[in-house]
Parts: sequence; C-alpha cells; structure tokens
Amino acid sequence: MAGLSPETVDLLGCLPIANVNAQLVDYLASQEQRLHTVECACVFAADPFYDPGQLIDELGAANISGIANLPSLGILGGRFAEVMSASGFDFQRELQCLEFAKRNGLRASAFIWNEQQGTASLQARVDQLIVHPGGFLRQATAPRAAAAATIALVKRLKDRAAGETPVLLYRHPALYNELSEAAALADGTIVNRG
Amino acid sequence: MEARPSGRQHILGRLRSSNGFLFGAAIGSGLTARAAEQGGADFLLVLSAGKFRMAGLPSLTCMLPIGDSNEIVTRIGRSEILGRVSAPVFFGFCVLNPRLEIRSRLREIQRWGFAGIANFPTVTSVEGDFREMLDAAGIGFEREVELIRAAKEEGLTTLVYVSNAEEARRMKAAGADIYCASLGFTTGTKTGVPTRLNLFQAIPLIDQILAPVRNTGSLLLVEGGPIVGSAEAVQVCEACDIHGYIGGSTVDRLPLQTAVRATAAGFKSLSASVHATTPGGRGAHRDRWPWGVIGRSPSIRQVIHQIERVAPTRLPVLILGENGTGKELVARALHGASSRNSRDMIILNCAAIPRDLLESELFGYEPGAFTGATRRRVGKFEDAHGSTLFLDEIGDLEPALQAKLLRVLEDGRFERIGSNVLQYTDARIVCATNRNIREMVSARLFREDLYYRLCAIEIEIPPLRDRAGDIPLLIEHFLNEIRSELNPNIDAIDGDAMQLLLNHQWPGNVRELRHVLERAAVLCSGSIVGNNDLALRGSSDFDRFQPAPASTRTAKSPLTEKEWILNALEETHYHRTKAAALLGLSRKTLYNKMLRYGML
Repeated sequence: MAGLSPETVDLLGCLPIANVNAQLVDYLASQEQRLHTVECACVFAADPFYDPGQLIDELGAANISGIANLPSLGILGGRFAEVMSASGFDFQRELQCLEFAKRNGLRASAFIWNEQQGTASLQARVDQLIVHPGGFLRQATAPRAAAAATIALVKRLKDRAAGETPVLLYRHPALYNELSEAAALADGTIVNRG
Repeated sequence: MEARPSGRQHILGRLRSSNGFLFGAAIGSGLTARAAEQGGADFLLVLSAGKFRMAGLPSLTCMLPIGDSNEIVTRIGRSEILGRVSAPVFFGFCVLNPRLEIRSRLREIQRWGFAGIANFPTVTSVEGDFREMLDAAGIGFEREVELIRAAKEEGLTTLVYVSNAEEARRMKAAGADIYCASLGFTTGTKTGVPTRLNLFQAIPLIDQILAPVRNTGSLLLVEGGPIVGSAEAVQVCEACDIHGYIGGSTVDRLPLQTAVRATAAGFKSLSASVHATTPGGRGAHRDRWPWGVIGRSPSIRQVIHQIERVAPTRLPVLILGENGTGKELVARALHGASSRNSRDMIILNCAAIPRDLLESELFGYEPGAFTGATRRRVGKFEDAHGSTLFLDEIGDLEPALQAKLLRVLEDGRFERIGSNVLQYTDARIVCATNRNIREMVSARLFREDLYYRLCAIEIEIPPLRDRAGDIPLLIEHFLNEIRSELNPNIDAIDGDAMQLLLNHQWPGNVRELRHVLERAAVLCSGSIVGNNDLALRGSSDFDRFQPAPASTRTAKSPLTEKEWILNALEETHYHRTKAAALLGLSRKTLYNKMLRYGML
C-alpha cells in the first residue's frame, strides 16, 4: 500500500481485500533474522478462520512476545457495527483473543476507540491500552475536535486504570501535531513510521 | 470484440424471457451453483459471501479482512462453476482495493467467461461513519458507479445492488442493466442478522428504492432482509411489481442447515434404536414389518416377536395400549400371520354399541327372541367361525356379557338369544382395551376369571413417547401415504419440525402423529413441512388451527372478513390486484388485511 496515506491504510486494513493474518504469518515466517523477538504483532483478532490457539501457535513460531488487535472492528459504529455484533463479530471477540493470548504467556495490548472498549479492556486485564484517535473522517474533517476527544479519553482511562495498566496513545500521523497534549498525558506513545 | 455487446443483449434477452418469476442464486461453491441451476435458477452470482456461508459463517463476514474477495470469487468461478453450468454467471466484484485496476480486471473476467458483474461486497450494505469513511477515501459508492460504467463499456452485463433511490439514480446514469433493491443481510436462524424490517415494511421501501429506474426497461429484483423463503419472495415481488429475487442465504445456508439437521436427526434416532436392540438378531435392521407395523425400537420389536410367536396358535390374546397406539393393527397382524387369514377378521367395538344390542350382535338371535326379532340373525361369534374375532374396548363389556364371553372362551359353546340350542364357534378371540384392566379387576368391574383367561397372552403396545426413535420412520411412512392421498407436493419435513415432533409427548400416539402430518400437508404452502405448519396438542398453534365455535362467528367478525378475502382470492386465482379490485379495496389495503389475518 505504498503511497497511500496512513489514514487510508488504517481503513484498508479492515476491508476484504486481503487475509491480513495470513499475510502477517507469512511475513514473519519469511524474515531471516528470526532470533529477534517481535514485541507486538498486530493481528485481526476476530478472524473466524483462526482459532486464537492456532493463531498464537503460528505467531509463537516467529518469536512473538505480544499481540495487539489491529485491524479492529472497534473502528466500526452505527447499524453496520450492530449487525456485525449480532453475528458475533465485534470488539468483544477481539478482547477474548487478547485474553487467551495473555493466559498463554503473551503480552496483550488493546487498541481502543472509545471509553466503553477501554473499560472492557481494563476489566479483561490486558497489559496495556493503546488509545486510537479515531476514524479517518474525524481526522480529516475535524482534527481539533478529534484531538480534544482523544485527550479527554486518555484522561478518563488513566483515571480508571489508576496506574495499574499503562494507557498509551497511538500518535496517528494524520493528527500528529494535534495530539501533542494527549501524548504528554499518556504513559507512552506508539508512532507509525510507515 | 463485436460480439460482446450482442452477448450482453443476448443475456438480458434471455433473462427477460424467463418464465414469470426471475430468480438469481448468489452462491459460493460449485455444488450449490449446479444444484441451483438444476432447480431452475435463471442466473448465478458468485460471491465471496457464498463461500463464507459454506464455511458456516454469516454472509456479512464477506466484509472482513479475511481474504481478497475478488481472488476468492475468481478461484471459485473458474475452478468450480464456469464451464460446468449453462446459466449466465455474474462475478461479485469488490472495488474496495484502491490499487485494483478495474478495467484490466474486467477484461480478465470477460475472458474467463463470466456473463457480467455485480457490485459486491458493496458499500450499500454499510451505513454511518464507516460508509462516509469509505466514500471519503475514494473507495465508496462512486467507485462502484465507476465499475458499472466501465463494465458496460467492456460489454459485460451489469447487476447493481442499491439500498436507496439516490444510489439507483446514480447507477442508472452509469447505465446499469439489472437493479437489485438490497434490504440488508438476510435475517433468520442463528447466523442471520437482526432487521428492523418486516415484509410489510419492506414493500414500500422497495418501491421507494427502485422508483428512479421503474419503466426504464431494466430488470428489477430484490434481495435480503426479511425475505427468507420462496413464498415471501413471490409475494413481495408481486406486491412491488418487480421481476424477481436474488437468493443467497435462502438458497444455500437455510435449506442446507434444514436438510442436514433433518438427515442427522433421522440417522441419530435410528441409530439409537439399533444400538438398543440385540446386535445381530434376526431382522436387526428391519423397520417395516408385514401387516403395516412400523418401527425398530426395542419395544416395538418385542411386539413383533410376540405376534410371530402367538399368531399360529388359537390362544386368546389381550392387547393393551393407550388410544392411538395401533391395537387394531396388532390384532390384524395376529390374524394375518395365522392360518385363519383366508377369511376376513370380524371386528366389534364393545364401547360403540348399546348393551342391549351388543349381546345380539355377539351371539345372534332366533325369530321372536325379542320384539322386532322377526328372523334369525347370526352373531359375530358365528361370523368369525374359522377366523378371528377382534373385540375392541373389552373393558367396556357389561358383567353379564363377560360371563357369556368366558364360556365361549372355555369351550367355544354359546346359544343364540331366544334359543336353547348350543352353537359352536372356532373363532380365535383377540381383545383390546385402553383401560387399566388390572385395576378394573381389583375394583370388581371386570371378572377376574375372564381376565386370567384372556391375559394368558398379553401384548402391551408402548406409547409413542416411549419409542421416539420410531417417529422418523413413521413420518416417512405417513408422508408417503399423504403424498398420494392429500398433497403430492410434500417432500419432507424440515429439521426444526422434526425436532418438535421428536420432543412432543403424543398423548394421541401414532394416530395423533398421522393427523398432525395430514393437517400440516394441507396447510403447507411449499414442499417442506416446517414448524409453522404443525399444530400439536398443548401448543398455542393447536388452538389456532381448530375451527372457531359457531357461536363466536358473527357477521362482522374478523374470520368472516378473512373468508371474504379468501373467496375473492380463490375467485381470481390468487391474483392480488384482481382480488383487490373485486373487493373494492386498494392493493395495499388488501395486503394489510392479509397480513393481519396471517395470510402472508
């Protein structure tokens, strides 16, 4: 997806144009320097064709020490999210995969888009939260509002986490500057280097 | 290259000339494609959603990043379908990859032999922020419009999914050939999705969606939402005056689930019966016995065993069993398996005849025996000489007659009423009752000596609830009979209905099962009997199917109006527009009323 904006790539990760988990597994298997541990592999944690155990086995063979849920159904909203959820495809399903990974010795990081997802992730005792500043549209049309909402979300989740779970910020390239205040509040940042 | 436009015209002409209702099957495997074509599908639509459904997933997983939709459709279409069917095959084309060269892929699709393309997976099934994000990223609906424009230029037939009038208008501008009003993913069963629409609400919505393309010569179809069967599809198409329907889940997932569940339930119940019998015994795998006895449960096999052992003797037999278990059938079996079978068995129901008449029926009378006895009449005992006399409801026999019966059983001797001359009968006596004869003996309502004379051979027929494993066999047997007697279109019952019948307590036993199936066969509008066609005792549906008491039917009651509508529909051969005109109603009012009375 070279040449496309990071925010478009974010969106494409959620679409039926590739089998993202299979690509990840193939990519990791093809790396020559497999002695290095990969601290966090981003997976589509609601993949109906991957049992979490199978996915983690395959990732484990590539020295993975942690996973995160990206791409995620957490980005969806409205009626589409509702019908997806009714069929069992939602953020909760991803969280179950992260819980399974944690029980099996992997570090579990939860990308979250709203407070409800953040709270559910804390209850699931993931190792860290990564606050995503929102969808493509919000970033493109109302960057300041998106940044302000992100700051508020980070604050609330830090209160809820009470220092027990780190709350990180995904410093999205589309809002990099606007997110400086949120970054200062967060326990750490994740940046996209393309 | 010259041939391509005429190919498109040829396909459209072929679809337009389809006999009445146009039906497209949206599938994802060679198996379902061929089956759908054999069933008469006018065209096939290869979709990634179809492949996912075959894997047990809901259709909407086609929107997840678990595969390249176009690669999936290409693989299935080329390796499993093209060249193996004669119906036109459409390619479900996904435009969500911004790197995809639409034009070059279209040329490949045409070269491979696809007749056309459809915009699927489509952003028309997505609402809200996510849809706006896709549009803003340049991979939304406008790109689907671009696809249709390009496909038309390449000479491919174009089928478009649209979910509102604006989308239909934009696709019309792009020159689409076939429009399908999308009502969203199909509802129903565990993998269906919730919907806010019911059939009645769907009709104005379809009208609204397709309004911009009406009267343009385009083919108009509908799919998804609350339409879960052929009856609903035809009704909706008729009400909306459109050409037909595209079935996805309704073509593969729903019928497959139903058929497999029913088959598995059949295997499982039979298997349970077989395992419960003695392995390797004679006839261990038989389920249909002479004389019409059906079943392979241990209890019914015990009955068969007793019949075979007892039939050749002349010993009296007492058959016990609840109403509807088949006591007369067993009596006929005893007679049929005996050396007396060259003569008809004589049957007398002791509960059906008044006491005064019963004695003369049994023993006969001489002229002058009582008022009105003007000539000699031979009784059932004499009729049954050399044959079998089946006395049903023996528990209802008067004590005085019980004594006379005992005497016949002991030495075959009796006298006609009004005569002292001893008669002799070689009738074999088989009695039956649904009453607890032992309790009647204790209560001195039935002679103990007669009971012991009769119970030397006692055959107890198990109630149906205790041999549920035989229910699938009985259903199959009864459906065969019902097909020839009542409804030749009935093929089978679906899995849910089978489960319901297996779980029912059957207070009326086998007779009740037969009646339930007969009623279902009459009410069933298709070929598969479903839950809704069954009315079981103790269920709310049972009352629904019972005729209303005459006193509750007034001139202005809803039932009368329902009959009025039914009469009009029958008179117009179920043409709803004509029926509405006949009744002086608008088509929508008629539809409303039909919906209200459960006629849809």
